[in-house]
Amino acid sequence: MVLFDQVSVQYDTGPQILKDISFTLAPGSFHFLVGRSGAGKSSLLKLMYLGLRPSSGVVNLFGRDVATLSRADFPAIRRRVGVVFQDFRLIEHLSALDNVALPLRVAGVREADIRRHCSELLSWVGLADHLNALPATLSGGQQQRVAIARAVIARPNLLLADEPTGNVDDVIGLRLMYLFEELNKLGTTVVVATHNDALVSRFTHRQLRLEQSSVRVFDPAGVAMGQNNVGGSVGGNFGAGVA
Amino acid sequence: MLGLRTDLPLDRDAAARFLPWILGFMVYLAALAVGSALVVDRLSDHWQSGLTGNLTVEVPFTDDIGVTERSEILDKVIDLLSATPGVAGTTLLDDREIAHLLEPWLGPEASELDIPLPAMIAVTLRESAALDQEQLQRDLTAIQPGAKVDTHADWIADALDFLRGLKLLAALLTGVVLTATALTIVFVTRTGLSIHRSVIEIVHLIGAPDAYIAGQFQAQSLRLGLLGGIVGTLLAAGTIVGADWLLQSAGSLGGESEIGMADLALDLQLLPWQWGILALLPVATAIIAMMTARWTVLRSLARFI
Repeated sequence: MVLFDQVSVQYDTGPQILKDISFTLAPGSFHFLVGRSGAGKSSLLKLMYLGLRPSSGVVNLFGRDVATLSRADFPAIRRRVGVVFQDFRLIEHLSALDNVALPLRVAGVREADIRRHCSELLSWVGLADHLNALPATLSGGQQQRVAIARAVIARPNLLLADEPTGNVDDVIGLRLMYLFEELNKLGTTVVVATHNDALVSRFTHRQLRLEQSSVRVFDPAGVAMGQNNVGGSVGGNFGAGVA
Repeated sequence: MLGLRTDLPLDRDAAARFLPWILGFMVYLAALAVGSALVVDRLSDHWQSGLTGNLTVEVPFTDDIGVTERSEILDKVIDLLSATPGVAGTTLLDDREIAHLLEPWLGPEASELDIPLPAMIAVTLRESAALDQEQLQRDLTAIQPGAKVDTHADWIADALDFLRGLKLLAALLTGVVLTATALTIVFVTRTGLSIHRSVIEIVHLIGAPDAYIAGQFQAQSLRLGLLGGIVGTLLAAGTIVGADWLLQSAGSLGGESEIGMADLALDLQLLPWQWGILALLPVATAIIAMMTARWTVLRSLARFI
């Protein structure tokens, strides 16, 4: 599904953001992406939604080497990837419903189906009364839920979420995580970037840990449940899945 | 197709709000140019057929020829003309009419000046008649040396050259205006692309191909092009009709002269099919605007990641 081999990212003359990153995400897997703020989580996600090209190394998405793709190939790949941006990136002049509808419209789905699907999903995330609200009139948490609905509406093969629970309370945060798990059960590969240790520790999903520009894969299933492993450099089952 | 629902708020851009006005002005100029070319086209046909349908015979007299002798010569000339195949009719112009014709050169007192004026005979030809001009000239010279046939050929050639020049100028002006229109669209589209860069980026990341984004700009340009085109063309049509009306009211003060000058009357009227061509102008503008916007967006987006 996703394969990184010796991937490095450096913005022009700036410092190296990611260095020789290698890992594989199997289809249908669920990973947390953890690391300090500034560790390169967002850059790593960008590489996965074709928002950034690696400075060196190979990024392979859905079996295709990104370096060999032309611009004309991008839309088809991007439509298989749903993204929840950290800053939501909702379109300000479009209603909640129209924002969520965007991936379906781009894909050419019939307008009647679009309205039905979008209002159902928005109701599910608790925004039934805000279908026609503009993003600016919604609270941070509500905007985040719109952003999540937009990311999942087209049932992507790969879902990338950048701090998707950052602006919502624990109850809604958990509910959103369950939504991601539901999608995961239906076959979507999920990557959730977060620095919410409490949230990560509630689940047994594998963790991609970004430290000092490199990545390690950590599998909490290999250790006792409930133990807080995050941030620890000892314990756990490091190395599983490292390419 | 007209894209009333758009993901990009293009209609709110300041540059786009002015677009219908700018386009309207451009199309107004283009419509005037096209309209003038069409009028000129019609006039040149009209003038050509009017002038080739007649000719003038000029019979000069020296002072030693008496009045009786003059009228005998003129009778002979008219008999000759009437017997010539292809001639439909002749009219001998009197002194007042000749003076009127010469007025532009000699002033209103031309008939009172003490200069010998030639006799002039206006000849109307049958349609598609093949007149042996050289033979006629020889016969005339035999009757009265110095008499000559004027087929207006030089004059027609000059007039047609002038009209062709006008048409060329109109075509050139239309080309310049349409180019300026396209450049305006390029500018407005580029402005829109940079204003909405962040939205375009989101729509891109969601998986929209460039053509989807271009579609929104196209729809806007098509709509505004049509609007500006209709307004500009209507105003130009009003101007042409108004100018024609002014010309006719000015012309009716002057009166008409003989030798088929009625056929040379200047007017700015258009034939029905010519109005049809003018009516196509807004459609052409809209299509040019649409294609330009599409081309601009696709070219610009090719530089995005």
